[in-house]
Amino acid sequence: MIMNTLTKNILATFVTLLFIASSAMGQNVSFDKANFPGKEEQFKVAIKNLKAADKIYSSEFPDFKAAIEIYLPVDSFNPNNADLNYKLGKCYFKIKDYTNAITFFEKAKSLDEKVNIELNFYLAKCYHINYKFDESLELLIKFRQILDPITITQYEKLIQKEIDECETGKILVKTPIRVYTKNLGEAVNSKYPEYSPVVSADRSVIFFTSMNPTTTGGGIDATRNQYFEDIYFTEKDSLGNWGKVQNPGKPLNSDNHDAVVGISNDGQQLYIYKGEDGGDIYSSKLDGKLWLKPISLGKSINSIYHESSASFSYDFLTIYFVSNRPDGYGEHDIYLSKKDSKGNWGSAENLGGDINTPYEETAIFAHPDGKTFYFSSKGHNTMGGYDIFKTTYENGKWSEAQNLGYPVNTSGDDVFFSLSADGKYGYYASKGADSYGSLDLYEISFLGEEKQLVTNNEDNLLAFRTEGTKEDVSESKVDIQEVNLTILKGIITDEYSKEPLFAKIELFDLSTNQIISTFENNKASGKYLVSLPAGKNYGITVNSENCLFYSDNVDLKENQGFKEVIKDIQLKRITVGSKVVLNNIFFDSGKSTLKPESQSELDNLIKIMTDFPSLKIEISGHTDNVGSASFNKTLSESRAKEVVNHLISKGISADRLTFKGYGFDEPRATNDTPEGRQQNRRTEFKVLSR
Amino acid sequence: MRKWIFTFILTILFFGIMAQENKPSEVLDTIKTVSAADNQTAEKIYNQGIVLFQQGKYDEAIAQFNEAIKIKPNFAKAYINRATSKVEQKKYAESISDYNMAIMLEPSAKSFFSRGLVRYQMKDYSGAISDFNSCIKANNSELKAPAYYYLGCVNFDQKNYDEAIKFYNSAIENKADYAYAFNDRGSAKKQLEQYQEALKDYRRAIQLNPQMAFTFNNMASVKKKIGDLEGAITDYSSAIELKPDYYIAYNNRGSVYLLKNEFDKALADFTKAIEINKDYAFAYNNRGNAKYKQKRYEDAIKDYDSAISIDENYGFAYLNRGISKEMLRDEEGSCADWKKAYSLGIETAHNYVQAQCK
Repeated sequence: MIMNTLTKNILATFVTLLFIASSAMGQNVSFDKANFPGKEEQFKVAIKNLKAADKIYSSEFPDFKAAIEIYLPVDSFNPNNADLNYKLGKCYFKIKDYTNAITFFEKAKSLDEKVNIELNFYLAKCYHINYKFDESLELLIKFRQILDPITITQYEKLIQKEIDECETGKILVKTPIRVYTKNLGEAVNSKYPEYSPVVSADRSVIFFTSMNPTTTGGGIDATRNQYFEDIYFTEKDSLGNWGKVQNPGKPLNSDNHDAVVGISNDGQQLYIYKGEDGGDIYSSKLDGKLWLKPISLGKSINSIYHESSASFSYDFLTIYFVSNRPDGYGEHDIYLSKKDSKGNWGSAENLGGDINTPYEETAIFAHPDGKTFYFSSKGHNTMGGYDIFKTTYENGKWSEAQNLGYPVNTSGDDVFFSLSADGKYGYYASKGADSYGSLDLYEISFLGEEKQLVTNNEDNLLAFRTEGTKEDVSESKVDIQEVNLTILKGIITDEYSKEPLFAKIELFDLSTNQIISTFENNKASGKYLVSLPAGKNYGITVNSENCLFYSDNVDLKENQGFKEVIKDIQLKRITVGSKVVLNNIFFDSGKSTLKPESQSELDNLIKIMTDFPSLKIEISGHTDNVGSASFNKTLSESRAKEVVNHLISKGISADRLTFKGYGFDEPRATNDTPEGRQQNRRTEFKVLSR
Repeated sequence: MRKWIFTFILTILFFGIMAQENKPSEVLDTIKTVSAADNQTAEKIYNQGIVLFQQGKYDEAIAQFNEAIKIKPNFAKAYINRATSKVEQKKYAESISDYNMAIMLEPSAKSFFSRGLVRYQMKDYSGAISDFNSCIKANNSELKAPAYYYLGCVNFDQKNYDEAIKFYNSAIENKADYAYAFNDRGSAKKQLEQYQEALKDYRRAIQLNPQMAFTFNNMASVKKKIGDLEGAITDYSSAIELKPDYYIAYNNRGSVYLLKNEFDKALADFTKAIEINKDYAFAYNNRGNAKYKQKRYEDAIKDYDSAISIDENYGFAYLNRGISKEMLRDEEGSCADWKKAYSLGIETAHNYVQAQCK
């Protein structure tokens, strides 16, 4: 008996202790009338609200914000219900308010860790997004341990992915890349969301998408209670500042959603996303000052599935786009399609397993250098959500996708990144501390690896000498990422009227005499821009109706960095006496043998002679002043004759052609510099009659 | 560029070889050495020349030596002293022809040694080497060790460090307590990246002459090189203690603090170096670096400006200033600086220009 009492007492003490311990943890208070004596009315209201909110919570497309509104007063009535705290945490998680989500999840955990099997998993996700990688990892491992063998198969992949992302996050945050981010400012950004910016190669114009009251038609999408998306743009003014945002209006924008996804290097063409037919890509062209009605890219690109993003290649001959059509690597993948000789898009090719993962890929961006690509992915080594990755395509191979690094990438979604041709400025949307509200457009400049300062020191190495000996400094190599391409841009005008001329620009690879691509300039402004990736000898021909063609030669070696060349071109009307330099006619040194690289230029000549059958011309040869006058005169004449002979051999009547050698009698430039001498060595074409 | 201690040469000529190491030896050419011959006019004039020389009146001294030579055209010592006076006036070529004359008249270890020094000063390394060798052959017990020492120095300057070490060895064989030779041999070993051996020599040099602040400095720099930053700070501090105006050591110690990310201490040392020598461009440059590390980019630029105003060809100061300007988003400014730095031979700057500038 005595023993029994003792046992009872011990038990009582133990229970008390247990109670104290659990109340320190918080005690789960269930919604049971008995727990709220004297509060019957409030209890009734709470139960009613709880049921209403639960209904929203478990609906097919829950409005989590609305659920939160109703849950919160219930939570004030009974703050200690584990399940309610868990649900509030989940609601906040769904609306991406991770700080509040953590508060409620942690509370739920303190009340009853077992309230929901996924509690630790979701809390781990919140920690992950808030950069608490170690806390997240700890929970994930715990979560994995408590799962039974059957449930674990369901979660294992998700857990492992979370763990991998946290591990990546730890590494990336420890080694941030040096960047400078700048809000594009109040001329561009507003309290409404601005996002998915695309930039022209020369950073003269940015197109982006926004949802704000100026949307065409002014409508609101009831399903998300936001203005319909419209496409907007901002242009750089002469001082280099972004100008006031403009809405290009109809027909580029419609009364529905209109979102921009890609821009051509010259800013003259856009790819746009429309929600029709499961989501399709359209293109629109700038005709002078007006954007033409967007047209669908056709059935090679657009399927019944979701096509969501696309990018122009530098030569307009390939399109890179995103689709979730079946037979991919999973979710959305990146595809390409090439233009056939008739100008139609060929069948889509998946970029393959080096780029596409079982997870989401989107927002492809092809850099003007023709070989570097940026895209967003939830796979690869993302540190969470979408990260932006870079890859290069060379010698038929995609390089391993490279995470752009923190802080460009964050633990959240980082999508849509567009980079200037010089590789120095990226544009993306973010909600930074200096945001005007909602998503804003930011410019990011890459500072590269930290540059090493050099400190100089001296020693008195030799005893007899008072002045110090300077210590050798080993200059540390800093790996600097280089973009190798040349942007050629300018205005094409009529030499006499100075008015802008609408022209066709043909780009040749002189080593193969193959036409690479054909571009057009803007007929209203006369502006043109072509991107020339390094490593080719380019021939450029500019043609406009009733004008003599203009030709130029740009020989670009590999690894010569980025250059922006401004070349305004004045075309000459075909009138008697007008003459042009044939910049792409090449001879063997000191001889009159035509080099094969001259082929495309000779074809230009034949074309103009065919197009204007009464045209009579003189072909003249000119040299620099190296060597004797007689030698140069003979050489220039035999070269001019060689061109004429070629034209005759191609069927141009000899009586329409004369040739003359001027030696160095008519220089165009100084003979004192190598550049000048090069300009003086030339073949010219002069109209004698038409 | 390199200044010499000419008083040192003179010390050799007038007061003995290693006066600096507190070992006075025989006086070279003074009145005492002039024999009292029949006609002493030339000698008297010569002695007056020496007095004038000692007063720093080199023109007048030369006039006296001229006079003495006029009277006595084979007066070798007068040629030697006239040469020495001309060295004081930096008329090296003229001094060489006087030494030539003296050697022709009366070849001696001392005249070879003296001419060797002047030739070394004139960067006539082969001439200097041949003179020091002649000096050694003449077998003057006082001058043998210094001649080896300078052969070491000539080789050091030509970056023949292995050769230099051999000569310093010989210098030490001839003069076991030759502190300078130990210091310099340590330096040659440092250049060969034999850091532990270098430290050994520096320690020996300090044992022999604990007043050699520069050896403490050199020792510290080796320690810095091998990553013993604490040791380096201690030794630079010893150097500064021995020689409170040793701005080079302040600048060096500041650089170690910079490596240790102790920016305030670094800044204080660089400032001290500048206080002592307001024209010390390196200290301005380095202080700029310390300010950069404190993210005080504008202040850093001011220091680089000062460094550049002292030495307009200071490539690294341009490089560093460009880096600071970059942090201030001054793209044009940084590119201009890097272009200038590259034009002054800084390769790194070229990388920056290529990657980041239009």
